[in-house]
Amino acid sequence: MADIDTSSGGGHGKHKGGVRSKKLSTRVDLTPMVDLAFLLISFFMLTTQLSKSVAMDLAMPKKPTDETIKPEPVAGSKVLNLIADKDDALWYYPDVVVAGLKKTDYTPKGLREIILKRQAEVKAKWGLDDKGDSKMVVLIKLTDDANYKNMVDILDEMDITKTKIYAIQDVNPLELEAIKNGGNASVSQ
Amino acid sequence: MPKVKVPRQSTFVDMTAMCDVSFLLLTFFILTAKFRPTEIVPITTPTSRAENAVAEDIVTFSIDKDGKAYMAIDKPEKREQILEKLISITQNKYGAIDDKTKKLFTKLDLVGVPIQMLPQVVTRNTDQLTKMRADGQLSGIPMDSTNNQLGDWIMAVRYVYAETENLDNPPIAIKGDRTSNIKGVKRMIDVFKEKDVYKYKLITSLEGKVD
Repeated sequence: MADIDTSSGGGHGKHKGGVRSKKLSTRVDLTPMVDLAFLLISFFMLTTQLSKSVAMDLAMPKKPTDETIKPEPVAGSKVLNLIADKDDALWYYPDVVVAGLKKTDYTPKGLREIILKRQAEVKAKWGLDDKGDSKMVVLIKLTDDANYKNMVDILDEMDITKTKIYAIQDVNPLELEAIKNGGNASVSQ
Repeated sequence: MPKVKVPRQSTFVDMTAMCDVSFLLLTFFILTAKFRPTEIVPITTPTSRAENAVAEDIVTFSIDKDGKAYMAIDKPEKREQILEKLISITQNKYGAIDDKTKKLFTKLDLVGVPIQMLPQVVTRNTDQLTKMRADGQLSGIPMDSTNNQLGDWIMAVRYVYAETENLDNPPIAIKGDRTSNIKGVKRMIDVFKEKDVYKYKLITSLEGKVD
């Protein structure tokens, strides 16, 4: 194949006084070449996998066909509010009354712990639904200074903690004020 | 008893066959690898744990860092249908579009200008569009309430896909930059809502590290 045998066949016609060149083996060691080839194969295999983009599903609530029908109010003890603000700040408070906002971050120790803790509280009070999922309702609010990554991070966290009921809502003015005051709602509701 | 002499064998393994195989595989992977098409608008998507691959035939609405909206229709054959549908539902509200533009529109990878400007953009190729975008000449698809062209595009997309898929479930995806302000994304979601599109996909990239 790649190596040509030259060891035989050069035996005839030994001329006297002829310059005899030293016979060199033409056998080439292909090991480094194989190494290189496999390195490139691994590289191409890995990169083709990594550049694939994936999609997550998002379903928004439908517009009510009849404006007069008010949606049923949600029990405050099921609710967890998450408010994404600028510079990756994340505020949260339970229940529907805007009070005692606390700040956290998007790390598993921050947001995920909070969701799981609230899930446990809701489970203790309301139990689980027929499918065994939490009955917790997460209201996701994004201030105008939040960025798209924050939204995707929260939605991803919903998936991780298997929270099935969540909605993206507008921030209300009370919450904005509370954030400005560092978490304390100044106006009584 | 005479000793059995074991002939000494060379330890040299012929690597030729191995080399052949590995280069064959290498060639295969290089040829089958689908390179990401050059992106006219660079968008770094946020990461998520989602693992569903993006469908082949999909209409992607992107939002760049500055909050401008763009639209990309994957299948060239759908592009013509969508443009025809857009013309029929807007009834030449944005000016007439000639046949030449319609034909060239199938080659346009990214719609990033108001409909009125389409005839000037369809003649450009990807490189020229990338340069235009770098120079700030691509203004994005208008989506404010007074000039809601994005809504019209969405209606056209819905109608075209309604022939093959569920009317309420057109293959639509949102692709946002991780740093893009939420206002643009929210506005886009609102436009979708106005046009009765409630289910769509958010394009993300795979999370690098598992925590």
